[in-house]
Amino acid sequence: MPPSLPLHLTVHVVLALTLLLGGCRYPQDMADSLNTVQNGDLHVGVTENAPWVIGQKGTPTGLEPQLIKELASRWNTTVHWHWGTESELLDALGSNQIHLAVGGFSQSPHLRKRAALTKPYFVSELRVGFKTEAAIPRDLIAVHVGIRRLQSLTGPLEERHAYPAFIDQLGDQDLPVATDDWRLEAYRRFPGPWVLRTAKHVMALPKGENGWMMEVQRYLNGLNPESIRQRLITLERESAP
Amino acid sequence: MIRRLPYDMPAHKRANVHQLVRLEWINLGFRVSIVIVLFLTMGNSQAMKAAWLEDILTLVPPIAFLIALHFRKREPNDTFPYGYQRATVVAFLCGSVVLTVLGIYLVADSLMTLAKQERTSIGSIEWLGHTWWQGWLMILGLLYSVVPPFIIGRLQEKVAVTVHEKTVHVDAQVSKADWMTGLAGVVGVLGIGLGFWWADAAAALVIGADVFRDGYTNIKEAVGDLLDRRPHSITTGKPEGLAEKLEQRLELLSWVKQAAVRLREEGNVISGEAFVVPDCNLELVARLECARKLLKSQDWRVYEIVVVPVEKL
Repeated sequence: MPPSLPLHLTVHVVLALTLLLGGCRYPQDMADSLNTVQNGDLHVGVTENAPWVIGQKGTPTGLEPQLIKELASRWNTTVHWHWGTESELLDALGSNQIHLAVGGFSQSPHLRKRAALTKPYFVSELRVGFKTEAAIPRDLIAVHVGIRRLQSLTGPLEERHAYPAFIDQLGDQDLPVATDDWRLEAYRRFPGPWVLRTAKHVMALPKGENGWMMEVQRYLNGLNPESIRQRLITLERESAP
Repeated sequence: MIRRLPYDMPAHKRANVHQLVRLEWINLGFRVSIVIVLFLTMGNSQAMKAAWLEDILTLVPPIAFLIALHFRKREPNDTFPYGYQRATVVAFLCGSVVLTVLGIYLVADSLMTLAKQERTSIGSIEWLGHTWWQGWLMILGLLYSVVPPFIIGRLQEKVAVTVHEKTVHVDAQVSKADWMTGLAGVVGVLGIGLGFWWADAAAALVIGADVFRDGYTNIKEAVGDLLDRRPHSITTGKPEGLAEKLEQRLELLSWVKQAAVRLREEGNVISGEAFVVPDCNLELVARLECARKLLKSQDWRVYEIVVVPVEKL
């Protein structure tokens, strides 16, 4: 039976679209990032946040610079590193002056407003770690928990009726400490069952660069979370004072 | 105090109303499914957000109709001696106002995005071990939102005409026109993929304008009814000349020298007053009653016409 006219038409339209879209790359960028990167220059904004990004000038080390070098090696692209504060990096993304910004960023409405975020490629769970497994209590009521000033954990701890206490460093503490699960492992702490909060780690791209985003995302999707975790633990142990 | 008698709808029309109610339930079901599908597939696209908001609001007319139908069944009482015929119209007006405001918001929002030259990023999804552009999923969702309203709109339109349900008729036309909204969304998403920064906001602007137009059309219809506008044809939207027809019919009566009729729509039915100049006062009460019954028999929608004898018009 010959196909009816509408079906015939549909087939033609689909074929035409496939040829059209197959002929060029789709989706495309609004500011040509992917082409620039593939043609040899990848400009990355970095801000220090060990062990994600380590250093203050020159070529950074840490997990994310390692990942970006792996990504760039696909096209033999030279990576240009640009140090700045988070807000400088976001501004530069907003005006398409850099292709990527990293610094241990985690998903937040504030970041999403100003940049296009990748999907989380790694999720940290913030937990309370104890010196021994036997020391893990039944609940956190009236337990004094050490936290660093810059990790906002007072809220979730107080919700569980624990007493947060500020500490300068995580190592050599008698107190139980609250921080990322992989950090607890790096300091050989035993994590309790309570997840105080999660941090979904992302990289930031300029908005509208949908083709470039797809390439970054494809690379990140291929990463193994367990190997990232092991790399973070190793880096944390190396960089610990 | 005197109340109106309840409206007695002819049996075959009642069957049509049942049909319409069933259709409205199906309509509501599909619209809810569209809202869910769009919500699940919606990414960052402004155009898609606009289409989604519109689809949420298009839930209002069927819900309003179904709820109002229950009120309309109530008999006239001491507090509401004229009954509840206009319940559907009140519900419809509320929905229309919201639709209009949403239209204005969407237009303003997309104009601002255009002015600020904001760019849209659409992420990716993982499926079957591959990374796909989320835009494709959004397009599938939008295409789904196009098909059911197009078909149901046509069915609704037919039945709404037979039972003179203007609100449903207007809603059906909105559904029929809704395919443009969906396709505008598709064009917006495809445009983002082609690297046109303005495509998304431009599509959202088109959708916003369409939403505003829908809202405005609906308000006009609802306000017309609430302001006792003379009966308009549901299909052509023009005055249908029923009052003139009734006047002619009255003037055919041997005892009527002159007649004048004015009518208003009360939701799906029609009421009004007829003024007659009798040539003598003989058996006037019986004659007026006869005239009233005659007028009622002229059209099934005629609910109540008060016939008043006057000396001159």
